[in-house]
Amino acid sequence: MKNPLLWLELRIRIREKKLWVISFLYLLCLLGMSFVPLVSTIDHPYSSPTQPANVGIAIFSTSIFTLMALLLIISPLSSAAAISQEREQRTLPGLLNTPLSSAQIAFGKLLATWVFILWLIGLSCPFLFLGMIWCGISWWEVLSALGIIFAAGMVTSTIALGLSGYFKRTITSYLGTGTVFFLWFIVWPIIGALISPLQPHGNKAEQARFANFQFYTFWDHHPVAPLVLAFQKELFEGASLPFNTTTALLSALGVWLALGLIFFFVACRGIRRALTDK
Amino acid sequence: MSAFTPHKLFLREITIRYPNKAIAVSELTLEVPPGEVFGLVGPNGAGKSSLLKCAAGLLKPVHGSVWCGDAEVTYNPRLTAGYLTLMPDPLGVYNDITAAEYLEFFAMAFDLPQELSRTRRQLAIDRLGLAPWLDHEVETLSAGWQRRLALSRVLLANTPIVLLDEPAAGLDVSARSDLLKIVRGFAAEGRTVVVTSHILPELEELADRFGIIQKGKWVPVSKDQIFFNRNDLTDSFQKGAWSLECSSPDAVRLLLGEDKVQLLPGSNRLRLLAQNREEAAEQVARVMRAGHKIYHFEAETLTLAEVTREALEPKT
Repeated sequence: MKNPLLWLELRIRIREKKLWVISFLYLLCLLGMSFVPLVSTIDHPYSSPTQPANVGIAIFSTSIFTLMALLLIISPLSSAAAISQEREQRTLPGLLNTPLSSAQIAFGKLLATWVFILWLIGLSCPFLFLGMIWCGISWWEVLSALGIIFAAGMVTSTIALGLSGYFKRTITSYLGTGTVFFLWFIVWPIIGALISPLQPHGNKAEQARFANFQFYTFWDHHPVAPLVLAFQKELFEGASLPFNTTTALLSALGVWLALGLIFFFVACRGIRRALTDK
Repeated sequence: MSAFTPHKLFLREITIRYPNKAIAVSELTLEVPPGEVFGLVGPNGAGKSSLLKCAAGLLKPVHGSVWCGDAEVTYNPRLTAGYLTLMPDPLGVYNDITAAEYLEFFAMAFDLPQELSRTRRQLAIDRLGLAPWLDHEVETLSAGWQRRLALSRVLLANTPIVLLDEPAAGLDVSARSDLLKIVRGFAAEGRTVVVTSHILPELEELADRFGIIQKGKWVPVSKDQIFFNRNDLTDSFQKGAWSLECSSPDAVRLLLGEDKVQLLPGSNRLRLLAQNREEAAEQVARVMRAGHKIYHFEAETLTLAEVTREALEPKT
């Protein structure tokens, strides 16, 4: 293993009870959420010969959104104190007095969080494969969903790492991360919805322009948006959103990549800045 | 263990500013040759830690440069790490790993090949006596053992220069004495050592040469002298007083005059005051000519603490 920070973080995390408690609660949550569509679809009075596929789709849809929701909470939390904790423990001067660069330190910490996210995604695989077993979902769709969820986990944990480099204390780091993600996930999309009455009347071209502005500014980069775009047919029973899916997906991933790079840079700066703390 | 090439540490006209723009260190120059232990003395906030961090490449000086041997390493921590190990104060330790994992982690951080890593870890364990504590979590170790563990980085990286910021802080007498031996051992191997400490008697014993720093500047100890060594403490920096043990102290006091001789409380020794050693020797000769026996005669010297206090006292 080339990055010593990854080695260290994994050692520490594996030993922590927190990992196993979180994994257990996470599985319990997924199990509970998967049972809801299973029970409701099987007990449906108008069950048809296509029922197994419907069950598969229902379980898959519920599972991926539950998985995404859980990871959007867990992944930022797991890196929200990564640098501020080092700062509080005063371990950064010793760490930087090695051939390791601040980027290697930040990346090692990030990799450890990504391994944790992969572990959680791995735990959820049996639930997602149920969709395949019931023939409603292809393996390609499962992989796409997992890819999008992992990408969302990567970007949210990178943003949280950047914030942990920005804030000096662990507690403010957690609070700051919570605030930023609350604004991004909840407040910003609601603002997007609230500006709907401003949509121009009459001119269709202007209406389309406004809808594009509203979508790309407020919703497209939301971590759940790419998942909705990718599985809109399954979610909306064949209907699709009035946006070019590929463009919207690429735009969302582009914004995530930019955010990830910016916050990774902030994390590196935070590591160096910690040395001037008195 | 593979030998290292001894390197001097040269800090040239270093100026450091705090983020609030206040000056931490101002145009400070220091050269420490290999094998020497340099003691950096000064009050809190004098700029000692900032200077060491700057030397380790962790703080950017607004002016000046840092040299390890012939290599300029100013504000380049990765390059500096090849020459110099810093033990900062406070000493940050990872709480959730064992001492063995600490060694392994830093061996990886120094990018040591497997075989070399094993050799150097074993050397650190043997030299620092870490064997009984390898399976203990670092946070459960005493402050003394945590510092020893931190010193293992010097042996892992095998750097020719070692900077120790308050290495004895919070240690008991025995741990301080052990640490002293280890640090002296580093210097005996030819490593360049810079130590800051508030525990001046220990520093006096440990360091070969000293410098006093205040408000980021060297404080001269005399008109033309900034740095001083242990010989200066015993030979040059005299108080103008000599301790005298003789057969009849009261008679000697009468002979030399009470303004020249004081009786040291709780003993039968006298304190002889004189302008210089010639005058002191003349007084002793007078005592001997008067038929009194002299058992002991020695110049009273200043301690590092006294020199420091005197240098830092505002001059009127």
